[in-house]
Amino acid sequence: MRLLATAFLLLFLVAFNALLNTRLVLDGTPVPPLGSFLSPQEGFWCNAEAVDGPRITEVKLRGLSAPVQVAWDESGVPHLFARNDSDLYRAQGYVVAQLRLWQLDFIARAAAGRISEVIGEQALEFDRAQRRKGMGIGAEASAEALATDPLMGPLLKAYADGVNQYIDALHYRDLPLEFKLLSYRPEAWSPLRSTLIQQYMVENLSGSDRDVEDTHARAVLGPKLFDLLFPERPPGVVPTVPTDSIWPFIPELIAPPPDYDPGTGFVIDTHGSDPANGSNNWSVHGSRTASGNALLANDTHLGLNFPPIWIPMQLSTPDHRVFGFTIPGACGVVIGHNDHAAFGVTNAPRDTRDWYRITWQGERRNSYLYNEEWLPVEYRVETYKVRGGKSVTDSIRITLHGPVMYDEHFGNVPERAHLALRWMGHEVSMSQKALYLMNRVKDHAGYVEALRYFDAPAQNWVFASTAGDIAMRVQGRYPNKWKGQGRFVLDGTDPAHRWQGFIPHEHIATQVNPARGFVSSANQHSVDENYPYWFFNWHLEHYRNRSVNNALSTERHWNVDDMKELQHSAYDLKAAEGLDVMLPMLDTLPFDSMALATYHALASWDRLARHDGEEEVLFQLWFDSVRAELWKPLQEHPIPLGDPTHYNTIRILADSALRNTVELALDIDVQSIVQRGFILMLEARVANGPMTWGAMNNARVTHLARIPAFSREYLPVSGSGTAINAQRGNHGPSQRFVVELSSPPKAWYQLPGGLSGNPGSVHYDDLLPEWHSMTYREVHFLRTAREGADKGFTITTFDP
Amino acid sequence: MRFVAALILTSMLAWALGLFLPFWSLSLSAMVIGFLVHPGGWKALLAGLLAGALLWGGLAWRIDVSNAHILSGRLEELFGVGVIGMAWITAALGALLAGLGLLLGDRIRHAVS
Repeated sequence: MRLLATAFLLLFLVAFNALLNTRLVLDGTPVPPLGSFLSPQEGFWCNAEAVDGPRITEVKLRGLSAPVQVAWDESGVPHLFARNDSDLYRAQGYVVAQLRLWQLDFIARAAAGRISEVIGEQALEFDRAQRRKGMGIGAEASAEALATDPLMGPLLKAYADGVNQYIDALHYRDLPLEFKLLSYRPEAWSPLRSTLIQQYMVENLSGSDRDVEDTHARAVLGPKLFDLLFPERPPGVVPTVPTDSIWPFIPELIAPPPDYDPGTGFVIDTHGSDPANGSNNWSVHGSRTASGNALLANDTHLGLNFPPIWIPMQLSTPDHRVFGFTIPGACGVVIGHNDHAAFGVTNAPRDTRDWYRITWQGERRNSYLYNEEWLPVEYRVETYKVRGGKSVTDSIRITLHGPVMYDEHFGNVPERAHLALRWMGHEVSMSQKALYLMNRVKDHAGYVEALRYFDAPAQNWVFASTAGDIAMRVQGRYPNKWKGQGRFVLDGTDPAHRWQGFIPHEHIATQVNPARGFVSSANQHSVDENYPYWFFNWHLEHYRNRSVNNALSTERHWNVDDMKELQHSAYDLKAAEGLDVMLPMLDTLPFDSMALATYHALASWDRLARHDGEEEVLFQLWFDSVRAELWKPLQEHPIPLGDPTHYNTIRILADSALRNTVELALDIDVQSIVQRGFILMLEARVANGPMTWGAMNNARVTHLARIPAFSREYLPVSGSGTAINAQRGNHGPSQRFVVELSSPPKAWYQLPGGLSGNPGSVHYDDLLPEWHSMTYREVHFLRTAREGADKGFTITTFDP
Repeated sequence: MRFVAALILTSMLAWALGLFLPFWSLSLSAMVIGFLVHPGGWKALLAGLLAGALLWGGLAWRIDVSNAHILSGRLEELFGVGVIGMAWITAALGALLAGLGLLLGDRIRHAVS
């Protein structure tokens, strides 16, 4: 009996320990192995960094030719000092892994369509979309091209080696918290994983279009009404680079083929990225600044996540030093300044994502018609190792246009036409080499030369130098399209519908030291109609860009504080223009006192989207209700046709001729819609009670794995999607940067989060409160690590 | 005396093994000490419970203080255990692992002697 009881106890204890060593999934929620997770000697407690704990001061980093020193400033920003490039990027890889290993691994997995390996079945659809759109095709081609580049090949390898040396030294106890929570280990790094992260950015910034909806809309509405509702270039647009004089080149234009009717009935959702990913940047010439030095400002609007996508850091060798913002996986910084110049980016929207209707031969669909011939498809076989489930295999057909994303196996619409995707994201990208050169830029000529290698994602590169030059360049590699090419679904059988070369680097729109004394961009139309090549994108910005230009056009001499203030401007130009049109349309005679009070409140409102104010809520509710009612006939059509832009909606409201045309075509009465919208807004206000804009907008920073406890909500942020401070839910300024081009330059920055990706670090979110105030951190632009030590910064030495 | 010895020795051995081995080394250490010291019956259980709670709870508490409760606060929100606190949960699990281990070691000794 005694033996039996002991044996039972033994079994129980073994089983208990085994259970605590097992990852469970309860109600779809993964639970980490609780024994290891709770153990204070190896579990989550090991991620709880001492608030004032010392940093490691000595690290062995094999492969270095000389020691590298890192000075960690009070914000946790690393300043790296190396003797040569190879050592620099090896150490950068190590430091980025130290700060953001889980983010590195997770984004590379997301780009590659491998999230289901970590979280299971629920990510399979996402993964399949990623792989079917050809994320891997572009990343692999770029990694191969960069590997053979004598400059970048060895540097990307050194970076990967730095990451890997960090990973190799990790025991379970040292793993970032998310690995412990989700119970998996980081994978070895490689240059391919770096190009996958670049591909993630290409997808984020050029991964959306409306070709299918536009194809449907044109077929249903007819070309005339379609052009009115969805114009390529509505009046009032001010492009990033206006035509100052005749463009100094002879364009290589391609004549359009005869009209083609692609038909209708395509897949509805083409898995596009958020089109609102955008940014502001500008540079003011020294002739218009208080100090006489040029000023440069840049804030990039992306999903606001923990950890932030950007990592501020300084990188230095005896030949150069640069401070700026890098993204995990990249050698060097993307936005920054060195001793001679400053540079930054906003997205340059351009349609580089086109769909081709494929005509198959036979039921097996392994050859397709092109140029009156049947061409065999190639197959790219993708295997998804779904966690907790069976592996899934997907054979993706590859045509000469690109991968067939939607066919009988994907899109859940077997009867619909099959579509192949042609996208700049499938091309080799050498943008990494452009970053290397830009980090060392000395003057305007160097900036143009560096950008020769910058192909994707297309960006408006702003530039300012200590020599006094300012410039803007709408840089990317753009297919040279005939007018209208790729706006609608294209004919996969016709060679004239293929992309036929690219716009030469020398023909890219650029502006240097313009007479107006500033350059600026905010994702608007890149060029005007005088630019000889056809420009199109379905989603373009219409408000922030004009707010920036209006501000910078005022006669005054700007200083650094003005730049910061402008970056935080909550003036909502859309609300201003919308109310200017909608308020006079109201019939106020039947209004009761509350309606009248609301009317007057909106009329006298200064159009600042304050987080603690109510007016922006009232405008949004009213405008949303008007738009919903106006475009109901489009929404309720059996095939969704998409909505006109907010800009075009207000333009139509403002113009009686356009309004009449739309009223007749859609059988609606615009005035009564505006009137009813106002009443609906009042009713919503009564039903829900007064609400502040902050409560409605819910400015927030969300953990990348959507873990609420690691996220922050309802931050007191003013602004809106159409204000310069483009705060919209968990989307907004993902960094802010202001540089004065003195010698050496001085700079200030903000980051919505912190340097560390570890939720157990004081540097996880310590910069967040400053981000939503006007407080900026001044950049420590160090000459030596010693200078950092003198300021009291901890020094880590990497020894070979 | 055996009770105190078991308590202290278990904490020390478990701490040392925990530097190299996973969490189950806590049960293992307690079992070894239970077998060697043999405090007997409920005393074994109690010594183990206390040793585990003190070791894991103490280590967790020390980390928590130096971390200003940043991470444990976030995890308490994540797991919805704000009332109890991560340090107490850690201490409780440590107590169970060591308590059962020590009792088992003691019972094995009892069975073979």
